[in-house]
Amino acid sequence: MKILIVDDEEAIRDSLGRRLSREGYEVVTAANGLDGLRNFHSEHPDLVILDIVIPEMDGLTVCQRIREVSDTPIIMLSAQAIEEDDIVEGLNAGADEYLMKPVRGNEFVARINAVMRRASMSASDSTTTYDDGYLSIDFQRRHVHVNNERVHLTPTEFKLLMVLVDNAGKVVPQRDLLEQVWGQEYVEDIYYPRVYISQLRRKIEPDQANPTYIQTEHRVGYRFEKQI
Amino acid sequence: MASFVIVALFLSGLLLILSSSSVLLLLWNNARQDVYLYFSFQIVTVIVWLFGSSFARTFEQAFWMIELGFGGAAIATYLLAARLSEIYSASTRATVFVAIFFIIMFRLIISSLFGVQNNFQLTESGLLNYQFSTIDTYLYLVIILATLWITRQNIRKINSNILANGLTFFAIGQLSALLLSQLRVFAVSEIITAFSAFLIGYAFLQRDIMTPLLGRTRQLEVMRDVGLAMTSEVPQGDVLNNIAKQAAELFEADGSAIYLKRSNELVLEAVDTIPKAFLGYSLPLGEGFAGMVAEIGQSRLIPNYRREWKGIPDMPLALDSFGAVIGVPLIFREEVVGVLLVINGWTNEPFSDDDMQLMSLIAPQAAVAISNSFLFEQERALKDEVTSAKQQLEAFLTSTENPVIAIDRNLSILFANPAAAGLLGVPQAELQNKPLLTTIQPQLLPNPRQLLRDIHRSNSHVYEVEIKEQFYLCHIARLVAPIEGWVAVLNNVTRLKEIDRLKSQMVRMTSHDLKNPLFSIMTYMELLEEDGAPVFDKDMTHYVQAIWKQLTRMERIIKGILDLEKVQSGAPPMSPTDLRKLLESCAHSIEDQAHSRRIAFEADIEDGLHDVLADASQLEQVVSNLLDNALKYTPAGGSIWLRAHNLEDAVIVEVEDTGHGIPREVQNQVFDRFFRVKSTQTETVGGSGIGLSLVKAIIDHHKGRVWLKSEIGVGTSFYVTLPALREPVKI
Repeated sequence: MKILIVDDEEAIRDSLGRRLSREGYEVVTAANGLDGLRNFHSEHPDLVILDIVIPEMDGLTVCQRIREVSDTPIIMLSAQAIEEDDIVEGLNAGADEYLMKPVRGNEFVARINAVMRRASMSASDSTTTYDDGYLSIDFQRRHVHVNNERVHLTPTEFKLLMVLVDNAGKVVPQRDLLEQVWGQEYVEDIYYPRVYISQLRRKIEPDQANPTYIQTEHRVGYRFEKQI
Repeated sequence: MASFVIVALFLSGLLLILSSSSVLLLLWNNARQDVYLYFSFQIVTVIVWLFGSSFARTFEQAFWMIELGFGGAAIATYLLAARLSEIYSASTRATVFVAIFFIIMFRLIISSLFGVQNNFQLTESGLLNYQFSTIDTYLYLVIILATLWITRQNIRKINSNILANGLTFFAIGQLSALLLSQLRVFAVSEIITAFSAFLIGYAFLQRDIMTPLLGRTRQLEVMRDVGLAMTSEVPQGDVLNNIAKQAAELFEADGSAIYLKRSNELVLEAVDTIPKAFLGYSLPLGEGFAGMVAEIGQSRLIPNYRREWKGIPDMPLALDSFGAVIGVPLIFREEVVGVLLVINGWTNEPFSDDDMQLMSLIAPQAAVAISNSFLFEQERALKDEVTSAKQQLEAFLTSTENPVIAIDRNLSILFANPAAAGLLGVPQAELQNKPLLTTIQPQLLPNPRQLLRDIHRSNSHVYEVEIKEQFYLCHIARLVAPIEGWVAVLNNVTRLKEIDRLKSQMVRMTSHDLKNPLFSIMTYMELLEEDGAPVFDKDMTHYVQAIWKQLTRMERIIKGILDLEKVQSGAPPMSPTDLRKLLESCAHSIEDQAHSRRIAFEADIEDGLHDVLADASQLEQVVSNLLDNALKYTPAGGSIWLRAHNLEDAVIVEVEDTGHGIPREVQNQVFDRFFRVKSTQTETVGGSGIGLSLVKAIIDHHKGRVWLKSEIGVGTSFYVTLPALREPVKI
């Protein structure tokens, strides 16, 4: 497993690198955004850890660039965020995880493992397909078509859609969603579902403002409505 | 010749008719005066004499009428003169009257016994000639001369030249009838006496009716002047001087003075013909003649101040110079407001009771006049004060750079200062009475719902508004009577906002810059701890733990600063929040900690607790901060309670502990940023000094209130109230 760390602080690259090496990961580093992108393409890491405030190209842009070509899990690691909006912005850029410095080693490793778990999630645990003419999902092959056009979903988005479709017609509470999609460590991070649901809606709903597939049950959770 | 007599008699009769009418007038005016009785007696007797004189020319028997009338007239005149000269007392007068009666009786007895015959004859030409008997002549002569003598001796006492002359002429007329037959024959004496009687009547009329009437006119004039002074809005000093002057003139007095009551003394406020230098002289209440009058509230007359007044003098030199003095209280609305003194020097005449009576008539009007002028003066002073205050205020409002706009209840502009006019780009004069809604762009107006709610709650509302790229804090307050409406004061906070933004930016950047090294230190520490664990001795392990403790503290401080910054930097997204659920979750999360520290924890949350409009995560932070604090400062074996109850339109949350307590003198500082209670018990407790300031900032943001009650050694209770949301949260 190879992890790319992009951070302008040498001490962080070094300490975090050592910590992750000790956990058995192979670590490559970059001190700025451009180098980070370059290393991503040359090293093909399995996970990217991105600081947001970095020279040459900021972390959010790097994240978007990576997302354009890859589903590789990305963890944003920032010292700057103080508001939920900052986190949402990071997640919207395509990150799978948003962590705030300082974060303890144990927790950090746990989160990395969780992200990796999601990414390497076996597709075979569900054999169903869904097709209503407009939206079709092939869980086996992890293919989603909207109006007969292939749509790319990140692993997290796909897992989210899967959990919802599995429970179609029932409300899935936020906590359950967090636990099932992200993992036990995430049950308090209630903004994750919100961000990802909106990403998902953008990709599959005919009208994002008036969703027909994914309904919000205010302050409780979300519900997938089959249109068959 | 006889025709001359007839004319003379006719003239006399005419004069007597006039005199009789005077008698009637006098008696009508005052029938009790004995002097009028004497005068009536005189007129009646003269009439009898005249009748006698007229009829005797036809009937000889009428001669007795002449004698009766002539003698009676002499006696009546004597009595009148004696009465007017006041030479007898009432008892002597009676004696004299009786004496004269006896003399006449004696005369009648003699004439009847000895047949004393008066001479009586009609001449050829029809003229009447008569001669009293010698004894009669002497008798009448004595009486008439006595009359003359008394009259001439007492001209001053009679006090009327016309009266004295009338009496004199009357006596002369009778003398002429007695002594000069020529005058007697032609009835000249009758004319003289009738004319004299007319003069006396006239004198009486003048003295007792006309003069008093004129005097009354004068009094009315004075009363009118006082009344005028009363209604005229002139300064008080002038009114007082005017009244003093009028009073002195009315009584032709040497001077007058007005004292006014001031708290517990009487102060000389106005004088007439008395030296102005005495003004301001004060008498303790109840002292001096004026003080006495003020105290008893009734008019008093003192005939001779110099001799009779034994108290302290009413003003300097009073004891040396004052003679008769009248003092009247000036009473307004049943309260003595002052005293008016009318003063004669000791060489001048005394006052009469009538004078005092008149003074008492003027006094109430004077009192009203003084009080009115006093009120007027007060009103004017007040008006001046108001005007100057208004001018001052206008000057302030005009010169201030802060725009100020006032509107009435119909939302018309009452006032806009130049700064406001400049801001709106409308000339100041044109703003007056303009409707606000058409003058000001709608986006500059406050949110009406928030405005009404805030005004209802605290009578003021503050909101931020951007005009011409400048930021203003607009403070709206309700105007109360007499003008009902609203006033808005704008403060340009552009610069402050910029500074605030820079501060926030700096805090963010600093925190960011601190977080990176902190993060790497922590990561290295973890590595060090792992690698070193096998070789660390006890001390080294302790050092590592100490470093961790400080790192954690540092982390908490940075997080606290950022949290506080977050709360203060903008309105959090508020949504209806189930407070009960939130509190229960907080309670749940500290149960374990409390248990492990051997602290009893109990939550008492009312069923059906109102929901609140809040940012749930911030509210959670508040409750957990309070609970964490309670845990931190409560020693093992203590207790912590979390309670929540509904109030009328709010919810109250209480966190009580049996901790060390917070000293009274610092209780109002605990919500300050970075404040920590310093004491030996709390020294070991780590804290950033931010928790409670964060609590306060969040609660302020939620329009709630937070406060505490604490006692050293007993414990601390924190209270939080939040406005209740009426509709429950829909799930």
